[in-house]
Amino acid sequence: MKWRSSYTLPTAVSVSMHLALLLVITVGWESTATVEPRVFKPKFVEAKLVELKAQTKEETAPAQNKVIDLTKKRELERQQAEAERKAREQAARKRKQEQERKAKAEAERKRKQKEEAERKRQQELEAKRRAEEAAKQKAEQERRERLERQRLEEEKRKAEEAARQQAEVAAAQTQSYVNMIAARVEQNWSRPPSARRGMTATLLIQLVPTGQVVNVTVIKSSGNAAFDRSAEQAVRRVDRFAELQNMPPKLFEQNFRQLKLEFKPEDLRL
Amino acid sequence: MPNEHSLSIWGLIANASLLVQLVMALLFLASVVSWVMIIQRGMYQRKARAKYLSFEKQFWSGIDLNQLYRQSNGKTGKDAVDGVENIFRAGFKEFMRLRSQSSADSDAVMEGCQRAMRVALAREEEKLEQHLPFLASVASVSPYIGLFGTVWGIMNSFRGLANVHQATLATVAPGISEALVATAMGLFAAIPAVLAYNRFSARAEVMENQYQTFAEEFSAILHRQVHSKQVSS
Repeated sequence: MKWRSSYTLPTAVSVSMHLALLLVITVGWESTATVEPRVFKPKFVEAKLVELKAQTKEETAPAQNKVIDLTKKRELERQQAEAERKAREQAARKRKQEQERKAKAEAERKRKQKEEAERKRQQELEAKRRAEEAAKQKAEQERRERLERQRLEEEKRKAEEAARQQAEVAAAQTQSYVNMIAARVEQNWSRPPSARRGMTATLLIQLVPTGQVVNVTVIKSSGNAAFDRSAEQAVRRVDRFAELQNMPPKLFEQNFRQLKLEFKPEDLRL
Repeated sequence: MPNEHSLSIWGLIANASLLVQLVMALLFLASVVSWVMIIQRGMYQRKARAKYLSFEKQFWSGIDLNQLYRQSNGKTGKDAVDGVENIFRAGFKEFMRLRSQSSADSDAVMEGCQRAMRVALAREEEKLEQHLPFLASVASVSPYIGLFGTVWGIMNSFRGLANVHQATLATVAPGISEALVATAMGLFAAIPAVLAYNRFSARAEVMENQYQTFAEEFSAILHRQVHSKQVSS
């Protein structure tokens, strides 16, 4: 019992503290508000067809009178009068009906006209709207095309730039490799006594990608057979240009499979 | 946006491997338990200190010791006898018992009293220092556990990286971030435990010294009483 009383409160406090911490982490850790995508609704007026109803008055039927005959004459007169009245009435009714029909027809015609006008107006509006839309689309497309063209031009320009740079780099690399090969050949060269200053022999060195020399020939003699031979010998002595191994294959194919090397030693004193 | 979601703290914890998750759960549990201990210790030591002060005040107020002894007889429940009062009661009870046996001589009486008080003191010390070893071990071990989780997580994230051709920062970063949560949790559990351990062990030592001093003082009083009786009789 004692245990419980002395540990209940600490346990409750500790657990609630940790729960509060978890809550804080869950709710308030990342308070970066997310931007709700706002939707713009296009503003337009909904067109409605308004129907005009022809208002016609219902004609109330005339009340029929009851005639009581007193005498025959009176009766006849009455009958005549009745007949006349009837005929008149009928005529009147006919006329009235006629008038009504006319009025109705007139109203109908007017309504139709109005409808027609309304429809025309709608059509015009529609056409206008379409035209505007088409214009807008066209403008948009033109803009897009222009952008695209710009982008393409930019890309082309960039590609050219890159190609130019690459070519420069490649040329520099080639030059450095050639210099290195020349240096190596010179190192392995044993100077014949007949060598003189300014002697130049052009050698064609055939290489494989490992840097191994496959064949050497003199394609342009210096005029001194001993010098030519010594140059050829020097290349053969080098046997393998190990540095060519880690050259990019493209560069090798372009320049080094058949390398024309001008052998022009500079330390000739005589 | 699943990507954004996966980088929140919860996402990181949920995406961690099972072992790392276990480590995190262990550390969280350690933190909870150590806080229970911290609060319980704090309350207990505060109570012990208050009791010590009030008892000492009462003791030196010139009250008759018999009366003081009887007063604390009936205490139960919330203010049950605890702390320094226990030492007093143990010593006094032994003193009365030995004195009632007329055969005992004064030295034997004193020795018995002192032994009884030593035993009570040892019990009280034990009570004061309860749970402190647990806090100490949480403080020292949980950073290592967290580090273990982190190392394991980073290991896994790098192993996953080995299969990727282009290793960018974006492929490593989530794994490492995920793994580092474990270290953060280890430190989170360890820091309060270290602080609490230092504070409570220092306070427990102070209290023990005070108890010892009291025991010595009390035995001095008893000694005086025994010898004055002997001289008078």
